[in-house]
Amino acid sequence: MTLTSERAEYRVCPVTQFKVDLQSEALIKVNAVAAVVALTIGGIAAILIALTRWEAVGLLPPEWFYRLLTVHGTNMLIFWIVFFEMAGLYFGATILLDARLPKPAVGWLAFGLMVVGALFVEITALTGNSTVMFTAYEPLGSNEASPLFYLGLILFAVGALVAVGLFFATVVMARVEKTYEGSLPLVTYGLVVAAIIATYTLLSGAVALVPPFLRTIGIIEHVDPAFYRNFFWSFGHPAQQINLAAMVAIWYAMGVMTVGGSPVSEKLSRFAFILYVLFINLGSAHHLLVDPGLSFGFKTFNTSYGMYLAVLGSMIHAFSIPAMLEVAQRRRGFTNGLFEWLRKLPWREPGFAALAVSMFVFGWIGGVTGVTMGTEQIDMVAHNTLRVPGHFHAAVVGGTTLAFMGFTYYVIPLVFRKRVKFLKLATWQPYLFGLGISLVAVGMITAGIQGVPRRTADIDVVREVPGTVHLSLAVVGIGALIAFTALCMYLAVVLASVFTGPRVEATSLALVQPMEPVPAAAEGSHVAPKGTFVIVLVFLAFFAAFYLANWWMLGRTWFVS
Amino acid sequence: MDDEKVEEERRIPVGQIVFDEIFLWLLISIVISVAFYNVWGLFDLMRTPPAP
Ligand code: HEM
Ligand SMILES: [Cu+2]
Repeated sequence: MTLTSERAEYRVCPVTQFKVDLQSEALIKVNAVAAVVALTIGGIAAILIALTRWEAVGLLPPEWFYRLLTVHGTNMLIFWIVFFEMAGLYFGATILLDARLPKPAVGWLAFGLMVVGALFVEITALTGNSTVMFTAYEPLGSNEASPLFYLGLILFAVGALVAVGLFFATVVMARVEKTYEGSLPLVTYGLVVAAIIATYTLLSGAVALVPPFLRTIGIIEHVDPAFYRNFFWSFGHPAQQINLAAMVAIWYAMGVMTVGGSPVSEKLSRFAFILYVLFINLGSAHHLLVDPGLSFGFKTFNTSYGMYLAVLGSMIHAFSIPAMLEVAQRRRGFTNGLFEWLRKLPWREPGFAALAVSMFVFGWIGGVTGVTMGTEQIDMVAHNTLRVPGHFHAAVVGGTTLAFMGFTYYVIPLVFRKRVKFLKLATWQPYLFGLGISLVAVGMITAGIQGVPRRTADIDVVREVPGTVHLSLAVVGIGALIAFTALCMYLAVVLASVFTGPRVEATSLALVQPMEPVPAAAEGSHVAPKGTFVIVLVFLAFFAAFYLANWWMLGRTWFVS
Repeated sequence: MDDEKVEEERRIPVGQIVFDEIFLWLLISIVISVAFYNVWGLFDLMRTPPAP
């Protein structure tokens, strides 16, 4: 049964045997290219602002620091990530389901809106006409931001919402046309969860940004800052959770693609995704923990009781992905001791390297600091310090961005149908990028713990800080140089592969280090992921120690007598 | 619905059927987020007296 009379054209992927709708493929390509352009602009801004915060270099004057901070935040957090996610949604709804895109024209409309919106923001930000940073807090925008800045963000959000609608329509149509059997595959399921969160996110974004836009063109006089913050953060926070869900979906995909095997319990993994759907947006309140006017109940319910259920979801994924790899490896016969399976993983395969580093940096640095800072009392000393960017660079750069980078290396042969060039660079890139961004994050976190504020070009004017702060900020600068180098390596591989060389059909999934197929499980056999269990226990102990250490530090900050 | 289909649906566990209802989850997700975060937060703000 087909729903519309339109016909789609397909090719069949020689490696995966998936049917690929050519219109969908074209949309994946343009969205991915737009994402990489945004990453390039944001990356250039990144190194310039990082070298400003490294006081020994102190590169930019304050005016340019703030201008480029705005460019960096919008390009990275909004344009790079969201364009890439759009590519991911087309991939998950069509290729993974053998389905066609119902109305490709809608996809092109969405892309057009997003590009125009992004251009408005780029132009106003780079020319210094919207130096309000990506949060654009009211009433800061009063005379600072041009209407085009808000209009650009609104167009971008509406475009993305249209693409999300098309995603849902594609999934429904695939079901009606029976292009797949049974339930949605887990990766697509994760992307559905991302799209569910995206719907709320993008609607909130529109609600938040329309009033300031109307103010800048003179239709209304005043926007309430507290109301703005409420709606802004039901855009800004869930936007990160779209990343989270998409990243986890990509983790599962890359695990299966580079190591093989299948999730140890589909039920458990899906349940973990449902926990995101239900609770993760409540965490938005952690951005408002120091705001006046909000009750204690509102703050603690949303940031603790509600949010921890979503954190539980992440813990489940953090267990089930390594467990999936371990079971696959043990079936292959790597059964010696607790960790032979771990040593024999394909560490030279770019996608696996990206998966491993991304999970580590995301969980051990990003996750642990995030849950800690999201505690109301601890946030009193963490809020608006460099600790906050330290946390989210581990999460959204070391975690999400690196996962997306790793995935690109497979999009090149499978979707762009080009040979990946400079494979050595691709193998090393995830490790170098992970190292650099971890140094950036740890430098920022330790500087923040010592009282260094975020978003300042020059800390000397702000307050007295201990001398060790200079060391922390130097670590940020050095980490930034390493991360920037790795970013350039990524761009070199991607640009050289996509834009030069002839079209070739891929012949295998693995780029560098193919693995033997996983032998089928013997009837009734059970392989226990013991090594993963040990890793998880060590992680929990580290988490608890870090969390308690923060309470101890808090106790040393304020002496109550 | 023909018999074959009824049979097929009977074999799917209830949990799986519930998990597959993606639009139900979309609805629940938005309701929870709007109620606990947006409405509660805005309600708190509206009860806050303006600064003198
Ligand atoms: C080479 C990699 C990167 C480096 C060296 C870097 C460095 C920095 C630095 C130094 C700041 C300023 C912190 C402050 O003074 O408050 C910053 C802010 C920020 N970065 Fe990055 N960053 C990188 C990549 C990314 C990526 C990939 C993302 C998002 C996906 C991102 C998102 C942000 C955001 C949202 C801010 C805050 C902007 C604001 O306060 O308005 N960064 N980054
Ligand atoms: Cu948040």
